[in-house]
Formats: sequence, structure tokens, C-alpha cells
Amino acid sequence: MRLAVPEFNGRVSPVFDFCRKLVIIDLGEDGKSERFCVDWSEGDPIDRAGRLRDLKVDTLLCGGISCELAWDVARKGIRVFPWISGNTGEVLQAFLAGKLPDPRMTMPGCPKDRGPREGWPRGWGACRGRGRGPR
Amino acid sequence: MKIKTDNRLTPDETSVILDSVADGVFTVDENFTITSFNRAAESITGVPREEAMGKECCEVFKADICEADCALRHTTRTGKPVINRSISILNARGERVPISVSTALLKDKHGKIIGGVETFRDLSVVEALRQEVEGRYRLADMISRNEKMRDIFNILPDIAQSGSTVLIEGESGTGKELLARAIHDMSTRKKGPMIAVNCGAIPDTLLESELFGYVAGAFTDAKRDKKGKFAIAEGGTLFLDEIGDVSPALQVRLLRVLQERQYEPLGSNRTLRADVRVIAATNRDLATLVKKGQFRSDLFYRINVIRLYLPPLRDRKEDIPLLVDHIVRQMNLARNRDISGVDRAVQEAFFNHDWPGNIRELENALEHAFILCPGGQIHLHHLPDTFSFRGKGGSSGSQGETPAGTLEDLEAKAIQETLIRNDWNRTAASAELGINKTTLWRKCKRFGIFPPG
Repeated sequence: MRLAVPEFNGRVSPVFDFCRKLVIIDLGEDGKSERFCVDWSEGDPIDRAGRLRDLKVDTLLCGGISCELAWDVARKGIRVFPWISGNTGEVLQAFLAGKLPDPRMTMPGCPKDRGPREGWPRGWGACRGRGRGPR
Repeated sequence: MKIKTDNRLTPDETSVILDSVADGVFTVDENFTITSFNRAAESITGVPREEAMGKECCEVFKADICEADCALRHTTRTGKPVINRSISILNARGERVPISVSTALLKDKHGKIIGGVETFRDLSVVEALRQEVEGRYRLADMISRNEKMRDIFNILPDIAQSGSTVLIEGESGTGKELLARAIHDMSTRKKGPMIAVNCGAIPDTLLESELFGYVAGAFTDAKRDKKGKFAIAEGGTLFLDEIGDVSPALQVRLLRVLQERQYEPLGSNRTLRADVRVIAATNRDLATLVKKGQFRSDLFYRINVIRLYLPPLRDRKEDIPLLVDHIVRQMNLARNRDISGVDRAVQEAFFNHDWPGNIRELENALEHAFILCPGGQIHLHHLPDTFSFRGKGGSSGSQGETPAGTLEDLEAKAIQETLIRNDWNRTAASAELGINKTTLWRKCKRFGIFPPG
């Protein structure tokens, strides 16, 4: 499994669309992991879904993400766990332990009973007026 | 009886006032943790106050500038406020909200910085209105209020759907390729490629192979087959710019492709079908070239099925404000800048200019200004020299306008340079020029020389 986590000051980046650093974690079947960072300070947000696909990422753990980009990422077959906040290491541990969603690791304003879960959250009134994404 | 000697507001009174304003307001401490969050901030961000308090402001605000260029960090680092900067934030529903932000420092009674305050205004309605207004004057990437342009906008969908060959005439820089792109995007071929070829930029000896391709061995350096632009544009549109510059020999080949929809790559006996829509463009008068025998009449009539004429910018000056607004906005987005527009002197200079380079010249002038203008409005001295001196831009072809060289122009230039050199200090500038300060003020007013800001 290849995970991607946008990072800012040691925490999950607040907005994936404008994050400047991506941490990639390769999880082996033997439980070992390798990580490296990718500089994302250049480039258009609109290209990010394609760039994730080019990096062969299959799961994205992120903070805020716009409707349009979340839809694009999901359409490329990448699992999206949005609206996560917290220290990157702690978030990863919680994800690997199957403990997400965790209200303590949910961004302010995100409904706690739903929390960050896979896929673009349905029924959140996403993408009003754009005709894209689930409604 | 207790006499109230302190007229300062209580925290409750402050809270009531902040909750009654339409702008979002929040404060942070020195760690950029939120310490207050008014009702409008809740409404615009979609984050309830109790969830925002004590959190890092970037995780609540979720702005596009948080990581790269946070306004509050800039203010606490430099001591300078940010005023009405246009940015966007992500609300709790994942929607981008355009806002304008302003920041200020918070200090204790000893003057020590204890945090910052940020106010922000939701620009969604303003942005929607702007798009509505612009939408009325916009077709694809083209913007115009001009009557002739709007006639073109009105018939363009039908032209696009017809599939017919189109000839676009107009001076350099009037947007011929943009119009061709708009036709392609509205046609049934929009999913196919649109390939542009500047026939005037490619030597004639190469243009034939460029358009029709070649097979290996067709000539000395032809080591393998190469597809021509007609083949690459298959199923789509081929835009032939500067078609008036094509040689007579090539005109014959083009005529055959347009008539019979067939051609042979260089060095090949195999005939290929051309399923391509051709849009041609020229800045020359093709009808006159036909009369002079420099352009084939049969080719002219073959490409002149639908003829569109793009007026030069000097004939549609009412479009200048719309175009400036559009170009400044595009450049702000591309360069992550916040230029607010152009001042009155620049507006006047633009209206008085003849624009021999049309819209391309306007874009170049604004790009020049973007390099020199640190922020706020663009002023005359940010523009290329053509536009300086008395606020009246000239061009070498303008009647009634004299190029730099008259005594008045030299005087205006000397005054402007002296002011810039003295950082717009009129006392120092007038002393250097050896004139009275009042005289300097009068001359500045006469020549339209204004300081920035």
C-alpha cells in the first residue's frame, strides 16, 4: 500500500489543494515501511489528482480538500480520507491501527459523528453549483 | 454612589459589537492559536466558535495562503498590516469561498506583541455579480462590449456547428487564434485536437513537409516517416495563421486538400484522407492580394466560405476596462499577486493610445507593470516608456502625438525621474530641479505625474 499525507509543520496540512510537501509512505506486507517526501510547492491544484496517480498512491490521508479535487482524486481510484488533523506520525499510527475516524483527529467544523472516512462524504452538500461530485 | 471613571468596553460589550458586524473577525495569540471568533467568522467558514477556539488558525481558516504566505505571520514578522488582500478559503463543506482579508497586530499595554487580529469579508456575492456582468460580455476567453464583436459572438455557435471553413481577418494581436479556439471548442470536433500553424513563421521550404508530413527517404535528412499537421489534426481542427504568406506552389496543394480532402505526404505515393476542419487567418487584405495575383482566387474563395473580421483595439476602446480587469485578474492568479488595478492616469493613457499591437500590446504593457509594481494600483511609471509623460501614451504611428523629444516631453521626463530618484519627496525634488515647490506641484498636475498610492 502506498499512502500519501500532505504535511505542514509536522502536522497534516490544512488544505490538500495548496499543500507544499507530500509525505509518501510505502507499507510492505511484512509490516515494514519506508517513507520519503515530495516537494509540491510548484504546480496547479487542478493537476494534483494526476500527480498522485503518477506517484502510484492508492490512499490519501488529508485535511481540508475541495469538492472538485476530492472528486478527481476518487475518480482516479485513490481512496481519500479527508478532514483529518493532527501530528502526522500520530495520524498514521491511528490509521494503521484502524482507529480513524477519531474525533480528536477531526478538523474543526467537520461533523464528529461522521468524521474523516473513506470517499468523499456524501450528503455534505458538496460542490454546489458545479455539477460534479456526489450530492 | 460609585462613579464610573473607566469608559473602556467590557469583554462582553466587545463581543456583542463583534458579533453584530458582517465581516468575520478572529484573533490569535503568539502561537497562532485562535483566541476569539465572531459570529460572521462562524458563518463564512462553517466552523462553530466552540470548535475554533484554541485551534491553530490555519486548520480553522484553511486559506490558500496559509502555508506559503500567511497574512498574519507576515504582519507579526514585519509589523506591517495587510489590507484587503484577495484570497480564498475552504469552508467546512469543501467549497472555495473568495474573501478579502486584513490583518493587524495585537499589543499589550506595554507595546509587546501578544498576537494578531484578522478580519475578512465574504466576496462570493461580489464575485458572482462580476461573473454575471462579465458573462454578458464574454465568449470563451474573449471579452467585448463592442457591437461588432458581439455580432460575432452571437453567430459563432452556428458557425462552429456548421463545420465550414472559416477565414478570420484582423491585425496582429487582435485575438484571431483565440477566436479559432472558441470555434473549435463549440464545434462537433471539440474532442479532437486543435493544431495551430503559423505559416508566416516557417520557411516555405519547410512548410510543405510541416503540413503534409513526409516518408523516410523523401529528402536527405528524412530518416524516418513523420506525420504532418493535417494528420495530427485528424478529427479536429487545423488553424492556419498568416495564410496570406503562403507561396503560390503551396497554395495549390492547400486548394487540393480543401477541395478533395486528400493529400500525399512528401515522397509518398499513398493518398491520405484529410478529415480536418480548416480555419485560416490573416492580417493582410487577401482580396487585394488576389487582385495583384499574389494569392490564388480559387483558394481565396475556398477558404472565404465564412469570413469574420476582428476589429483592432483602437476601434473598440470601450473594451479596454474589461480587458484590463480580465488581464490583471489572470496575472494575479498566475503570479500569486494582488495588484488591484490601474489608476486614473493609466486609464487615460490607455484610452489615448492607438494600440498598434492591439490586445497583445496591452498584455505586454500590463506584464511590464506587474514586474515593476510592488502592489496596489499600477501607475504610469510602472508602464513601458510609451505610456509615460503627461499621461498620454503615443505610438510612432499616431497623428497629433509626438514621440519623446519635444521640450515639454523632456521636461516631464526630467521631473518624473527626479521625483522617483528622491522617493517622491517634493521638497528634495524641487531643490534638485531648482524650482519652487508650488511650481513643481503645478507641473506635476499638468503632466499627470502622480506618486504611487
